[in-house]
Amino acid sequence: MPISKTTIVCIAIGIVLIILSFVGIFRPIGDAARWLFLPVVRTVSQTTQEAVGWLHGASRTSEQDRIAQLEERVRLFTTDQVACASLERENGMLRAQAHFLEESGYDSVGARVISREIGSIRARVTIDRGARDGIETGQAVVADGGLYVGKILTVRERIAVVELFTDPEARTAAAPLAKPRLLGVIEGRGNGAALLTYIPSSEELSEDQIVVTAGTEEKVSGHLPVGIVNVVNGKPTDPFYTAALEPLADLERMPYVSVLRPTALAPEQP
Amino acid sequence: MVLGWIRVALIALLIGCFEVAVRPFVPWLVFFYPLLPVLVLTLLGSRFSRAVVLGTIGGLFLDLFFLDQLDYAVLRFPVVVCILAYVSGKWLTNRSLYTALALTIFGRVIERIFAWCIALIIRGTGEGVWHGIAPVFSFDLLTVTVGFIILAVWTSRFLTAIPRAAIRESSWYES
Repeated sequence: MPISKTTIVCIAIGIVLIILSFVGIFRPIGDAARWLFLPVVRTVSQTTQEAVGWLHGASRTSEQDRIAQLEERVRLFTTDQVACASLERENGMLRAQAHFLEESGYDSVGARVISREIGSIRARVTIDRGARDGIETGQAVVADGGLYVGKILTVRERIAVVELFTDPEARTAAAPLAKPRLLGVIEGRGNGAALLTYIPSSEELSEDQIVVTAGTEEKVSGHLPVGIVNVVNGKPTDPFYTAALEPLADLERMPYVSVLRPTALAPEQP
Repeated sequence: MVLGWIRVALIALLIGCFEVAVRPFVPWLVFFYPLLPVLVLTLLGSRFSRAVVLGTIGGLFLDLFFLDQLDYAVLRFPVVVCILAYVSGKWLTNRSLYTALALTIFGRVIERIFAWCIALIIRGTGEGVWHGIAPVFSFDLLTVTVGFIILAVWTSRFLTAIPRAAIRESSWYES
């Protein structure tokens, strides 16, 4: 069947547009369009999340309320425990290290979650902060008062995509709370699950142990609580163990997050 | 006439906003993607050009806020509309509910095949493109059915026109 000239022209235009978009020619147009529609998307997503949260709360029984309260208390105590353990280590080390931490500190910028894609094959959220707020790829993202949830994956002028650590493509260096050394790698498994892998068989790991970020990645600071060990898998003859990890943060209900950016990247104050 | 185009653009923006900011946060709507069913209804109930514009604007909105997907919805949906228009004109010449349902199923399959090809080229794997396709189909068919019935009841777009001469000559009429 002969292809008409119009069809060929349309296909050629489509290919050219795709190539130009790869090069980034249309990025300023996209940024301008996002600037225009971001307030609407932000308002609609906030309203939707509040409505779903209200419906969820209205349908909860008193036992479920009690469970939710206890889970929230566990998160707060975990954050306090990690902070205390980190402070104890800092006091035990030289004062010069404290000066080093102060010099290369982090500050946080709050962001609202405006969209998300959470399921078995993907775990990512879109936030309403971007490059103009000092956001860069690889920066750590926390929620619920300091619980690690993921890293910045893609950045545009006014929005960014956060890859949650439960995303099947996400990898996070982890350490146990008590010992400041690399323990293994957290690999996302989708559906809110994660697996701690490459745990040396010499390492003693038990259930309910808290796992934190190792701090070995360039833009991810250490001692950020990640999750609690559920089940440790492995035989005594295996060189490495794996452990199922339960996230501490509630990744399903996360209307606000904070991005940890180095203070050097913070926009200048007017 | 201008109002018609503005209406198309607003509908496309509303649908895009729904798919970006509402659908991901409501558990029972996670598999509800209304853009394609609305495109089919526009193609059958209005003009081809308006369906293309609706698909382009809706797809553009999705590409603006789904940064990591890189599946060029702004090109994918207009191409799907062109294919559906060709199929509709060539084989499914009547404008009935069954035509709408058939076009919807075919359109969703074509749209997923496009997304799968783009995922293979860009990410090297098409894994996950067909995830949840059954509930997606269910929502598509339900949306098209409800939309078709509403359009048929409130407008005269799907009424069959019978010539007066044929009515007069009909023996049923005379009897």
